Amino acid sequence: MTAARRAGWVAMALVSAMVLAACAGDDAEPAAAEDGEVAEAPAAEDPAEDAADEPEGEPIVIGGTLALTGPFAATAQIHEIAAEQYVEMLNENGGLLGRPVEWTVLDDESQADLSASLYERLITQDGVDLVMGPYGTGAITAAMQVAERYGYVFPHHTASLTYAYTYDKHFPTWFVGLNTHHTTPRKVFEAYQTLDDAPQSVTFVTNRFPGTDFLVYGVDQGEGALREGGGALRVAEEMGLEVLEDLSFDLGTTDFSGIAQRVAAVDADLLFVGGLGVDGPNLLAALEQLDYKPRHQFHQWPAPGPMLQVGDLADGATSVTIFEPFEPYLSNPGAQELYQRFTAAAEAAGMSYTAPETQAGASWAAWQVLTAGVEGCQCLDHDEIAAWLLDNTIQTVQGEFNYRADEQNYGDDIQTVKQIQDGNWYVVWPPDHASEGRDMQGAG
Amino acid sequence: MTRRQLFPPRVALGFLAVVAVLLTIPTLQQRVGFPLYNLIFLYLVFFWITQATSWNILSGYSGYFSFGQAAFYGGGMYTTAILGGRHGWELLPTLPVAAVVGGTIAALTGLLVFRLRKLSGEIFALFTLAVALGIGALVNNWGVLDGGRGIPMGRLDYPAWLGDTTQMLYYLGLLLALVAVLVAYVIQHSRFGAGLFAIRDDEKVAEALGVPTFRYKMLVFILSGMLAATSGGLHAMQVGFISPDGAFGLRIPVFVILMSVVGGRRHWFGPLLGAVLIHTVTDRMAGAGYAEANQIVLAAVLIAATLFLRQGISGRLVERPVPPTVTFVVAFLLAFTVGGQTAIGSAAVAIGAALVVLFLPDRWLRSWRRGTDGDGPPAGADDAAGPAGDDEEPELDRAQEAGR
Repeated sequence: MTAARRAGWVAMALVSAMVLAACAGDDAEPAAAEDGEVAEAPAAEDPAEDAADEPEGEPIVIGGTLALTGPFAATAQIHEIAAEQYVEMLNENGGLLGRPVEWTVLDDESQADLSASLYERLITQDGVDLVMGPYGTGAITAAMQVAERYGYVFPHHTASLTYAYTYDKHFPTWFVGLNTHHTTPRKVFEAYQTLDDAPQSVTFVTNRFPGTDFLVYGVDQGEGALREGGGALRVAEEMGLEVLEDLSFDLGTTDFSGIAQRVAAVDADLLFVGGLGVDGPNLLAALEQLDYKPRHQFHQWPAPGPMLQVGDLADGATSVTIFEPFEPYLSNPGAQELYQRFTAAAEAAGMSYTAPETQAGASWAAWQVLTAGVEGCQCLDHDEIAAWLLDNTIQTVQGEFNYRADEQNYGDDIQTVKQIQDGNWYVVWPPDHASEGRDMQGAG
Repeated sequence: MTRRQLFPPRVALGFLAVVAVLLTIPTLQQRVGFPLYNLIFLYLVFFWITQATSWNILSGYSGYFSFGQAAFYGGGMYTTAILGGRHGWELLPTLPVAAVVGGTIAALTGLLVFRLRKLSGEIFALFTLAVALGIGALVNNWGVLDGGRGIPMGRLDYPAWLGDTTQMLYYLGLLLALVAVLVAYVIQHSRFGAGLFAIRDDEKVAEALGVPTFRYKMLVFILSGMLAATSGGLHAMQVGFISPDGAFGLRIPVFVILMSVVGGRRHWFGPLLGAVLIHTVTDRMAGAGYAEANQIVLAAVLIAATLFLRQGISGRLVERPVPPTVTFVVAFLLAFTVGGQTAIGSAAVAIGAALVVLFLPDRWLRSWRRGTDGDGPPAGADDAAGPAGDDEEPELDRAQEAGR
């Protein structure tokens, strides 16, 4: 093959890519939308029939990104399924304002900078009517700044840096309270204090991920309603626990043998894992090799399925939750629909853990918040949607939300403590939220 | 050898015309009302041009292949994030500080790496990667810089005459891209550039001929670091949330290498061309929900370009500038007016069409010319002719000129 012919083949490959890319793009220039300027939705012709009628008219387009590829893809898939099911349910029940709903999701590849530029695209080129937040603290924080620039209402489900979100039209459903660095660890340690063999000492193992770092180490300086201090480490000391060791590791770590050796050597009463995803199961696997089982163990945001698959070593492990696929959560508005639809869709998608829990619950609630705002003000005006959400109590699968503007649109910390008992998760604390017949169990 | 004018009238006019058109786009956007995304798209093109060009003046010109672009980019980002996001500085004063930080990182790295002869070739590439990862680890673990928490940017103040945030990013991004391209152009056409090319071809010979290799490498490394860091500082405003893995990860180095290799590393125009091409493909694919396919396409393009396009697209364009340029303009107008494509979609189609013409086998064009002119050049004349511009100069001449 001559050089010219080879170059020709390369050119053809490039051209094919370009043509494919161009064809994949948009065909028409949609209207610009800036500073919250969106078209008013035409009023439904017969509001009385809205729930039963087929949605009619121009679709309401809701845009967002998710980490469909990259390191966060496994968890983002939960949000993708939840969103698909919610929008499908919405359209089966008359749509939104009587109009059909379209969800446009783009892949941010688990990259915060890409998420920001894709939200710019969704708002300024695609002219979406509404947006839904992405998955992951970094992507959410980046995308929120874009939403703020254009005045869009920004519901989001999994952002953990509560102190960083000052935008007046952001609406979190990771509803843990602005001062979660105080309230969350206090709630966990209070649950442990009820035990006969309450832990007296603790070892911290923390992922240097922004959210877990915040929850374990708190903040040095408060501002406005944000209280200084906090963090599980300081709260533990304040509540009389002796901190024997404070270990940390980088995001993406899978080999915990060195950390496990130190954990076993220190042998604290409580192992506090400020980790996420499979950090906990990986650490437990390393501990198992040393034939060591923590007497008590807490995991911040573990992937629910892998924790259960660990077996006996994880029995008694605790975590915090805002939604679980059992009572009392299943009595909350929309929870039955979430449970049935999500479980069926997750099974069809071949997921290993098909029950909706914290992630799916937060996602579903975010869609409930957005649609409640739109239906509440009967409009697509972002200022009016935000005002309605701040003035009303929102019913969600996680419970009632009362957004408080003086707390950066957070409210009470609604988290509960769950524990693995008999091979399953159950809510055990506080007592008035505990699963029937369940309470906090100690070691052994 | 005759000394040529640095900016021949044709080049100077071309630069000015492009800049004039680009400067009017924000105003046009407001008056005509075309989607704001076009400005954001162009800002991102400017960003990638700056990053790729800053990489190329070091790695393309001198042959020192760097994987450490993230050290400068991330250093600039964190400078703006810390000064602006945490300490309330306005945006503009943070940018020169970012440049100093980038230049300092480059100077310290260069002092070590260029003094040690062993650290060349692949060892240099690994060393620069290690520097970027090391700085990332430092930022991730030292609370004064970040400590792993990430820094939300919030709103940084800047002069009101720069317009809203999108316009400000556009104007400053354009300015940085212009500076980067001008720096690359001037270097390429100077004794300094001739020295760098000589270093790339054979550093020992260059040194024997009197090229001050250490000084030249240090200077270009510092320039590269300053440009990349300033661009990173500005880009912090676009990203909004700065984290160590995003700032010091592999995405930036991989993309700037891809853009420069595809565009061409031997010419100032190469990274510019590569940035436009790669970002347009990425934007169209990601926006249409084909991000996974996009990654596969880009990987295939990089493999193909490495194997078959030793000079990059710019090498071919320098040899054959008119047919692809005319094709681009005609295809763009047709796609935009008749095809109903967006401006960006039309650009993608036009780039594709121009590439087809660019890589048509020479004999096809010759036979076409013979068919139209009746007196085309004899067969083989195109192949025998050397590339235009600087590539006409034998490398030895370059080294001798640089050494004088």
